[in-house]
Amino acid sequence: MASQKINVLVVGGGKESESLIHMLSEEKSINILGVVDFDHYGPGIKLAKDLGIATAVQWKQFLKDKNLNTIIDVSADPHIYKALANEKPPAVDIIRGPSLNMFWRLVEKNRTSAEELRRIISRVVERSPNIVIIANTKGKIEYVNFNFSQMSGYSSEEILGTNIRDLYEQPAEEAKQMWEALEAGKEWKGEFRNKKKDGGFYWEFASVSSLKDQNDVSTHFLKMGVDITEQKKAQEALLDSEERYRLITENTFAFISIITLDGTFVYANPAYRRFGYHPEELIGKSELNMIHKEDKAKLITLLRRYSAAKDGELLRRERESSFEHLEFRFPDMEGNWHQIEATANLVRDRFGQERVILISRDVTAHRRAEDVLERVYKTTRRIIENAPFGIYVVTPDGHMDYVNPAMLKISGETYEKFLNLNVYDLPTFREIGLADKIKAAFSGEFFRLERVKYTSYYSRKANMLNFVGIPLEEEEGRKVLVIAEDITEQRKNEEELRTLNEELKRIDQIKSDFISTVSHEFRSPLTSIREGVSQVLEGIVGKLNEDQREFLSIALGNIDRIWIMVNNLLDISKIEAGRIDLRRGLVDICAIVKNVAPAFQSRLQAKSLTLEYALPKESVDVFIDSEKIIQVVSNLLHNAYKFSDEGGKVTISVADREKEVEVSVQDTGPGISKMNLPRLFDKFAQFGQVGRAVDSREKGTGLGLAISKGLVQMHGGKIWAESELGKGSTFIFTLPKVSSKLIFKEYIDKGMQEAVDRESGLSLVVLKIENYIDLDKILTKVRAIDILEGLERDVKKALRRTADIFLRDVGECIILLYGEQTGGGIEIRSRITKAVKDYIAEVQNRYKVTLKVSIGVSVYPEEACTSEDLLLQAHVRLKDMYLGLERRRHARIDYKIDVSFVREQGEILDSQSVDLSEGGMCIASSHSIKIGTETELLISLPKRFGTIRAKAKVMWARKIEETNEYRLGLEFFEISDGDKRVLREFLESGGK
Amino acid sequence: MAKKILLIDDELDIVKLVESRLKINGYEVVVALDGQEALEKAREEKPDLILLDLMLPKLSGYKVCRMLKFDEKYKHIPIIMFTARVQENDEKLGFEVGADAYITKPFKPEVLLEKVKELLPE
Repeated sequence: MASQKINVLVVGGGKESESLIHMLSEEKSINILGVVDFDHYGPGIKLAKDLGIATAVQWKQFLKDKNLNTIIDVSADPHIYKALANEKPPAVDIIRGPSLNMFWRLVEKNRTSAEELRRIISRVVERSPNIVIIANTKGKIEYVNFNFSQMSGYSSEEILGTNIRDLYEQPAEEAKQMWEALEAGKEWKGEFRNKKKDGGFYWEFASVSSLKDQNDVSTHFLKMGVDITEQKKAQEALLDSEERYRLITENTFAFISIITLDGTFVYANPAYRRFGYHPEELIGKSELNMIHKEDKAKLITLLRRYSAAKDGELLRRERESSFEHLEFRFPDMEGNWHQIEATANLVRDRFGQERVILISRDVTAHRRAEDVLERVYKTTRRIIENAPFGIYVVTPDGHMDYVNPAMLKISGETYEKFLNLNVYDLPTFREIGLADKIKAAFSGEFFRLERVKYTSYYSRKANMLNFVGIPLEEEEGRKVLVIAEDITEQRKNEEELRTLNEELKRIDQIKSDFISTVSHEFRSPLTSIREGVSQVLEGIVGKLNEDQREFLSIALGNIDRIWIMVNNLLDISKIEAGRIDLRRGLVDICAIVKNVAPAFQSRLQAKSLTLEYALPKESVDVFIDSEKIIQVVSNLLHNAYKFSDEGGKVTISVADREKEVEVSVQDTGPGISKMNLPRLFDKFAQFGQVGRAVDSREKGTGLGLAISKGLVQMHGGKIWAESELGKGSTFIFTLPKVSSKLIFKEYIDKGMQEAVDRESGLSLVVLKIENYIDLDKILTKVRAIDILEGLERDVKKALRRTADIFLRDVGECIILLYGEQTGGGIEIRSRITKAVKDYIAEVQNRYKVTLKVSIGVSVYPEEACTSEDLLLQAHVRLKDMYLGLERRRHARIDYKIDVSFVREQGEILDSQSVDLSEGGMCIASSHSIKIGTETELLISLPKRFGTIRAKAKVMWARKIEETNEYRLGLEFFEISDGDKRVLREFLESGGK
Repeated sequence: MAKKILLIDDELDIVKLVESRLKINGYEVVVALDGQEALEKAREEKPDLILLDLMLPKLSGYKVCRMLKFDEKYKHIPIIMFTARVQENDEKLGFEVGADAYITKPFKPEVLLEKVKELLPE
């Protein structure tokens, strides 16, 4: 016994098996006969193989080995344990579970002899999870192990001596079989329902065998079992679920069939009735042969694979993948094909036969819908794939989900590379702001990003792109669809167009410059020719005879024609180049029309033409450049005159419309054909030539109408002709009415811009007739606007410069003086002041009305920097230019005489007069006095005249900056007759 | 005493004709043919009025005008720009440098004479 080795069979090839083998193999007293694993797989098997220990998938061969005395089950599978317990020779111990731990702890601790081990093993048995009972042949219990007590609740003291039969329930049939077996010396295995001490039950699967003495006589029975209560419960539950499963199977809509590996029906559920089959009829039939011949191959392939798996050692991986999906067409009873989608699964039935379960659905209707969907999807996809726009989809982490071929083409990237891009990581997207936009799009915002230069990350291809981003709600979360439109070509075309346009403009500029240069270059020789001819014609260099005079007249007429032509050429080139500035002012268009006519009077008379007017009664004031409009009207009149036959009539009309003024010139000439009407205003277009010889004055340059058109258009108006052959022509132009504010602003802005460009200044002078409205009521012969015009004319004359801008509004005019700064402008302004004063005096003398004019000046950039401010400042500074009574009726004399005057508080101040007249005086004072103050004056005239007394009113006061004193304008309102006479005498004497 | 007019032009044809025109009308005429000479003559001769061409050799008419008009001694002398340059900007520039009038070539004799008369001091 001492030398007897423990020969072990290890069942299970897993991790636990590995460490067990490891330990056991080092133990001399232990010999591992073999390792069994159903899968022949795992670290335990591997180690066993390495150590040269026999391995197998079955334990049969090892159980035959006589040396085997211990089986260690590390499979952790109760079914295996159960099977082992069933099949093992009775003398072989099985160790499993917790006892195993104990086993090798003891092995390790003691490393004792085989004897000792034997003892240990019996202790192991004692501690084994097996329920062990030994009873004598009469059933009296002689031994129970620890686990029995644990399971039943009886201690060994309590139970020993009692009859084993009282402890379990067993169907009578089974009991009979058992006893028969035992009496025959055989082992019996079966289930027992054992009573517990507390009245409960536990299930046990046990083997019962008889223990014999040396004489081979049974003395005892050994019952060794395992607790299968849990399994039993599970089984019951399983039965339940099997029932449930059956119910489902029988009632489900799904077609469930079980077929053999050669495709024959073993089972078909009632669902098959829906195809018109009786499930029982199907059994034994070949499902394989029933399905559509084109789909057969799919099932054959599947079944073959399953068969192959069955024959060989089935690897776990393959078993796991035994679920297969397949589709095939299956006929109903009437032979209609149904599209079936099936899941196949390889199973082993209880007889160990390989079977295939097919769970199928009839997806015919589905497929039909899917076909439609598929078609729609395909169409959509085709559209996206072939779209001329780049399309890609971005996931929230910035990765690409999809990209269409157009985008790849645009970016020059390959599919893989593009999908590798991350929107948030790469400068390609960040620099153009696309990354931020996409980020924002994830919160649901659409975006549009236009004309951005997009440089692809890998290919470095650069394009000009427009982007549109659309948030998409996908099942797996939000994504952003980005559409990119390549506008590189478009831009290139635009660019080309622009270049072309610029080139055209340049050519046009060259043309304008050319015309301008030519017309300039003509001027000097023309000057000499004209002046030479002119002087000869005037007889300056000698007397002329009639012929000489006539011929030179003709020469001079044609010289002037060239001159006009040169001017016209220049005008048209300026108009075309946009180099004409309008000098707008508020002008009565009726007056302009009337003023043009006299210049033509002699010519009209020569042809016996009558000129008629159709004008509104009221004046029609518009903001226009009067010179330019005069030019237009002159041109039209000239044409009318030219094309009218003798005795004809020319009518000039003005119509005052709501938003514009319409001027028309109508003649009774031959008219213009419809064909020619549209080109009438083209350059050098000369139509309807007068059908007779003309002299130089009648000939045109072919530019008049083109210039007129340009000038009218510059005013924002339109010009056109209406005509019918034989019925004369009417030329009409319109001028829009624009507000003074707009015009002022426009001009002042322009002036300021020019001042900035030239680094010079700009002065704005406002001249305002304060009693403008009253004037219109008082005046009879003239209108207030005439007075204003006169004022403007005189000031203009005084300035002696034509380049300054005059703007006229109701009751006031504005003068823009270029290059004038505060200091330099003084002289200019004093000229203005003088002119205004003279004009006031003239008007007051002529019309016997008081003309109140105030003047205000503001200077850019010193006093104001914007057009509005400049205008405002000038108005704020408006000062009454009160001239005093003397200017109205009396000559003024500049004479310095002493004057004392009484201020409000009774204080007497001495002062000197600047000038003096019968009506009042101007004095210089170191103090200012409020305008309107009444004061008493003591005027010390030279000795001969003595001192006179007068009461006067302060009409104006002005500070003289240079001398820091004041000028006061005083008007006498009370003066004694005597003093008045003395004053007159003094004035008449001229102050002598 | 006849008023003295300084006529400045680099085109001899024009100088000859304008000089003739002015003399016939009772003016004394002094001629300068370039800008430099114009300045010298203006300072030496102390003319009552200057008729000044703009495109002159050596010194442009604008410069001549500016130098005279910014000089206290000569600023009182009226200057008429007398030129073939007819662009509005030319005219504006002329006034900015202090010209008193601007007459373009070719000219009508009566216009020139009227202006001369208007600007000459009594």
